[in-house]
Amino acid sequence: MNIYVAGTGLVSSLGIGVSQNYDALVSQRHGICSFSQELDPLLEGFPVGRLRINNFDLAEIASASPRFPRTALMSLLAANEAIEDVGLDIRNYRSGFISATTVGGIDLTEQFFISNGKNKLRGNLHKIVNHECGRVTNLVAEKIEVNTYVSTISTACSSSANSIILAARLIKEGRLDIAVAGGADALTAFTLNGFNSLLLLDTDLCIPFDAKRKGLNLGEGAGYVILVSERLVDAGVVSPIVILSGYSNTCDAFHQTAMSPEGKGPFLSMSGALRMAGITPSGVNYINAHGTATQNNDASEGNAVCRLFKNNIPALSSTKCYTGHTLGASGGIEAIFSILALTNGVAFPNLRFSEPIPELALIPVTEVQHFPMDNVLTNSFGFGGNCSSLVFSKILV
Amino acid sequence: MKIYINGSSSISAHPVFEPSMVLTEPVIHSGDRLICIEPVYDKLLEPIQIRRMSRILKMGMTTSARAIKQADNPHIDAIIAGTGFGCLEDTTRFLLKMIDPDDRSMNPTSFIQSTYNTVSSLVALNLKNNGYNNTFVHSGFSFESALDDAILLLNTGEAKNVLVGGIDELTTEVYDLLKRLQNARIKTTKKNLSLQPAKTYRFGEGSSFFVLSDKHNSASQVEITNFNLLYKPEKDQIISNFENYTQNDEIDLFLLGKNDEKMNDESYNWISSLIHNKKCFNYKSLCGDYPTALSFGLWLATSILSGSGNPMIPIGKINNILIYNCFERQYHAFICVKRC
Repeated sequence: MNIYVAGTGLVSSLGIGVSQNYDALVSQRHGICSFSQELDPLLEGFPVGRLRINNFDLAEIASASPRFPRTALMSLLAANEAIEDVGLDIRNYRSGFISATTVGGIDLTEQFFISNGKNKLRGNLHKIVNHECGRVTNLVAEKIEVNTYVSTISTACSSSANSIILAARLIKEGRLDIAVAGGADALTAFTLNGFNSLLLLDTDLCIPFDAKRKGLNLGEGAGYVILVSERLVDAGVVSPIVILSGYSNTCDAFHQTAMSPEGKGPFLSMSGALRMAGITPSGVNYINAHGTATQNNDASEGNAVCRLFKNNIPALSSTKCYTGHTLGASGGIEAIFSILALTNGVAFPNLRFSEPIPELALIPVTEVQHFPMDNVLTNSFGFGGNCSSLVFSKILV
Repeated sequence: MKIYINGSSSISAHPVFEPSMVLTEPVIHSGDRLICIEPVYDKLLEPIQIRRMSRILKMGMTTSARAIKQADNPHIDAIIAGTGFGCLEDTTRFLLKMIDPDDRSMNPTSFIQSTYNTVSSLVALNLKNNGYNNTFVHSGFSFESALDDAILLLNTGEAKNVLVGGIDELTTEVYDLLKRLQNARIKTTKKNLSLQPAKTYRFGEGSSFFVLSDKHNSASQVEITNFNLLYKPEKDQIISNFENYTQNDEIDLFLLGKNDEKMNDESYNWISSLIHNKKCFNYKSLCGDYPTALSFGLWLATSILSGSGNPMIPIGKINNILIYNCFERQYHAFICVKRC
């Protein structure tokens, strides 16, 4: 049974909405233009991909309460866009919302702790009621009125790829007709300090897959796809965009924060997704890589790509040089970038790249390339070794 | 498709981890906090793990390892965890350092271990397991989601043995905050007594892991005969669901997740009113209330049926148990387990 994508919605530092993001990608305009001290005055000098709209304005655009955590506001905006895109009243079908996040409402928890110091009796409790990831999902679920299934996944930076996978499986099993699946993560002082404590942040703009890469830039955003069953498509209720033809979830099981040098987990997730899609490596036209620009990820992922695709490596790029690493949202956002690549026949360039990693014969796309595509692969890997890959394919008529 | 629990292990407010420790009666805890009675980890974890890991990680690691051992060490095809609050100890530690202007020496270990997927990934790391790995973080529906995913994998043949568990830890800081939230709720709802928590409300924590399998073998403890989740059902749906189970199966014990928080009472009352001349027990009176407490309920049912003996509830011979849990009126879970 085919699982179709029938709608997309996204928010990132490139802007609100799919078309703003697409314009930025093809005109090679990145959104990494803020600095970490905006989030934490004591942490200076790290560029971040921040959506330059404050919570009050976001709340107004989303018709939501400004008391929502930022993750919920971005999540709602992207989910609403995706639902409008499909042009269907999802309440009339068995609908689900499967979201993903790694920070939940911790942006407000930070404010709570800052305002109360160490005095446990102080601090505005409204700031912590939506701390849990599931609360953020529920705030959005209430607004978009799904009726059958709601849950939240958190597998670090592969989170929203996994929510897309779960949605597909629930539809295949016949439990849902339609699902809003993806994820959201706001920039927070917590994650900034966390990645800084691990020495993984670049003080300049990140350069994925470059020999001189020094680390990642954090970003924020939300990305959701609408997955629908074959039944809805056959009935002519929706116009599908592409097929989610393959997916795979594996674990690298090498180290809590580092990928194995040979990229075992990435190799397994990519090959598993291709197997399900029923295509060989040569059938892939474009890879939207995880490509965080850390030493470890790019070497490991690059190794896995070279082993799997051998001498026939397809057009490849990491779009994190545009958005920064949006953590739990990246799988959803980059799934949409991959769908845009597939439907428009365009490979987005890997900005700022100049020098390949010495031991790898891997040269990403450096200019906008137009060519017809049948299948694109997108990767999402995270802490704990969580690896997930998705394959989107053109609908054959 | 039949689903079996071939291994199960729990750490809870009662010393139930070692099967050799047969309890004659539940441990009495004072106050409104049911904190886990943890095993001595010396023989269960490496010294460096004991030093570095927070309680949730230690509990998750040991209960998952024990469940796999009980299941006779099958190859695990998928590892799935559910946690509502996540790794609170490390999250709080990192957060407090971050806002301390005098000492911002932030330890990356706390950040690494604060991530919600730490338990499931550490278990995979320990087992060198490259299979499916997932973590659900949907508040009071996290374990339900994890169990649902596990059963889906077994039903579709994507997996033959799945490790699945529910874990949450209660730290002093978070207990204080939950207490403040509870008091605030009491204050704002003083006119509406029905929304106030009962005096018997206890905060809890725990870790319970299971090996689910599509095959019955000598290790099999119970069979899961039915599992159903309902999101925002009408009253009729809840009742017809319940009646389906009670008509088809000879349920002789009902384990209810009633937490004495009045918000959920309505649906528990509907269910209770349909139970006649059968034993009924609120499992949260033993483990306290926490987002993944249903995992303790399932462990308790398994323990009662598998004959490993659980005298915490003085009952006679039981063959079928129905567990029902409701989270914030929206999410409802039914699990039927049968002796096998």
